[in-house]
Amino acid sequence: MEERLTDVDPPDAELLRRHVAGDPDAFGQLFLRHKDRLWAVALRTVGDQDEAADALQEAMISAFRRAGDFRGQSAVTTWLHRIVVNAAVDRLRRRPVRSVNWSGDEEALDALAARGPGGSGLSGEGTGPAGSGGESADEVETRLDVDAALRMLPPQQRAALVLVDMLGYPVADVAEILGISAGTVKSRCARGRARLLPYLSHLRDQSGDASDTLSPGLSPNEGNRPASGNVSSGREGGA
Amino acid sequence: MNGHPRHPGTEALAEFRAGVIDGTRGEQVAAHVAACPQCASVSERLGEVTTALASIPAPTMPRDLEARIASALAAEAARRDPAAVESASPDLTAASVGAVPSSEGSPGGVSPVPRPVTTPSPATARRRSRRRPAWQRSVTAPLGVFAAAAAYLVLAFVGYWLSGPGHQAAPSVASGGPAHAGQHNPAGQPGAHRLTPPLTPAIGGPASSSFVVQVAATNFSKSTLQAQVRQQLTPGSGESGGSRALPSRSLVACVMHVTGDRTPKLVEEARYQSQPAYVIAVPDHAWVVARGCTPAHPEMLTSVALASGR
Repeated sequence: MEERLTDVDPPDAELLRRHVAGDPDAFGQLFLRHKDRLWAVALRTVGDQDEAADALQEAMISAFRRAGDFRGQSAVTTWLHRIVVNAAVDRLRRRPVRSVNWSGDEEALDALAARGPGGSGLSGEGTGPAGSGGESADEVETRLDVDAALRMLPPQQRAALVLVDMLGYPVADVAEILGISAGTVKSRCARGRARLLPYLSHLRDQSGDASDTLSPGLSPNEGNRPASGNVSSGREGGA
Repeated sequence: MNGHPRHPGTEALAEFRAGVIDGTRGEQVAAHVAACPQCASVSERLGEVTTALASIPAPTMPRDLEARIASALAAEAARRDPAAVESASPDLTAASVGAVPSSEGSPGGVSPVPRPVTTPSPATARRRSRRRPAWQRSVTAPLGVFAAAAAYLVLAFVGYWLSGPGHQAAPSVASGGPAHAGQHNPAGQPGAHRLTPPLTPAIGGPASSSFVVQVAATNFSKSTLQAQVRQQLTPGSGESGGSRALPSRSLVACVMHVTGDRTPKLVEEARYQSQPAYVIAVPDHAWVVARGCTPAHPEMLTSVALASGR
């Protein structure tokens, strides 16, 4: 690699500026710098590895072309994340809706988990899913279970939970990425967690704590919307 | 609310935990959870959902996907500006045209750009090697010289013809074609000896370029660029109050590079989005470049079609 006279690590905004000014390499550098985070967003949101790859590529090309519209009112990474999330959510929306009657049956949940091996997406590295990262069998199973459970979420709730709970972004950053208020981010996360609860409660049971298996039917009182226990209630519109 | 506390739903408990239920309602939920073991358990499990989600390790991008996307981006870059991509790569045969070789040893004021670790897709590599290889350039450049020389000759003779009585030489020179331009020097044509081979293969030629620079205080903006340039190109619109200047060698090189060797209709030293810039226009297209524009680093800020709009 040849030595260059200028700074080796120009900030994101500078790379984007160069890209807009015609530098043919600058956007590629930006991509390489943030590829892992953006891949994590795409993969966890879309679930399926191949579809996530397609969505991410579409997003990067779209960002390349639209870079001239970036006004610098947010961080470049925020802008990139937004484009990737939108592409990922679009992918999710193209899929047919899965609605499952959740009976609280442990076997049913195992079947759900078993559904996901090839395209489960939670392997992430592109290698075999089981134990590839030095994980214990339990950890692998957890991953598969979570992936199966995530499939039950409406796209907007899934995107919010991926960003907040899985990837650990602060709510304020996620609000900026998604272009919504912090309160809406929290609401989407809350509803998503509530919806996931019956799918994941078996994890706790496995660890030996014998407290009640949460019956999915905590009755929806107080005029709230139906609790997450009844998964076949169909998709929420705006989530 | 009165009397017997009813269980909030799981969703309400989740919302309460997330902090989106406040006020009186929030107090009620808080009071209920404190008093109800079942709901307290649900609330705790909701926290475990977050823990379970957070426990999944973040993936890293697979190598093959990284290469695939990097290639796609390189292809986009080539599609956007094939000449810039070419000139940015020192391993191309750019030297025969005298172009400034990429980013090494660049002149002051133009920052070299680090080379990324990406590999161009096979399609891009073929395109780069196919486009204007050296042998082609050495053949086409002199043809360009002759064509330009013929154009100058025609213009010079027309000018002479218009200024004086005798105009017998013009048709014969014009019909002589490029092949004769370099050799045919009709006697008695005072204008002929002033002609020099106008464009050598080297970029940046003599300063006898075919354009002058309008220097103006105009501020172009992205949304109105197209309209503003069209208006400037309209005959008779004449920017009053501006001055004219001869372009520097590097500006000539920049303009010719940007326009693809087409003579510009307008080159204006002005501002774009309040930044100093040059606005360059041919009849059907306009570009805006920064002041430091060179063929190797055009510093293009934007470009827009003029004919029918984007």
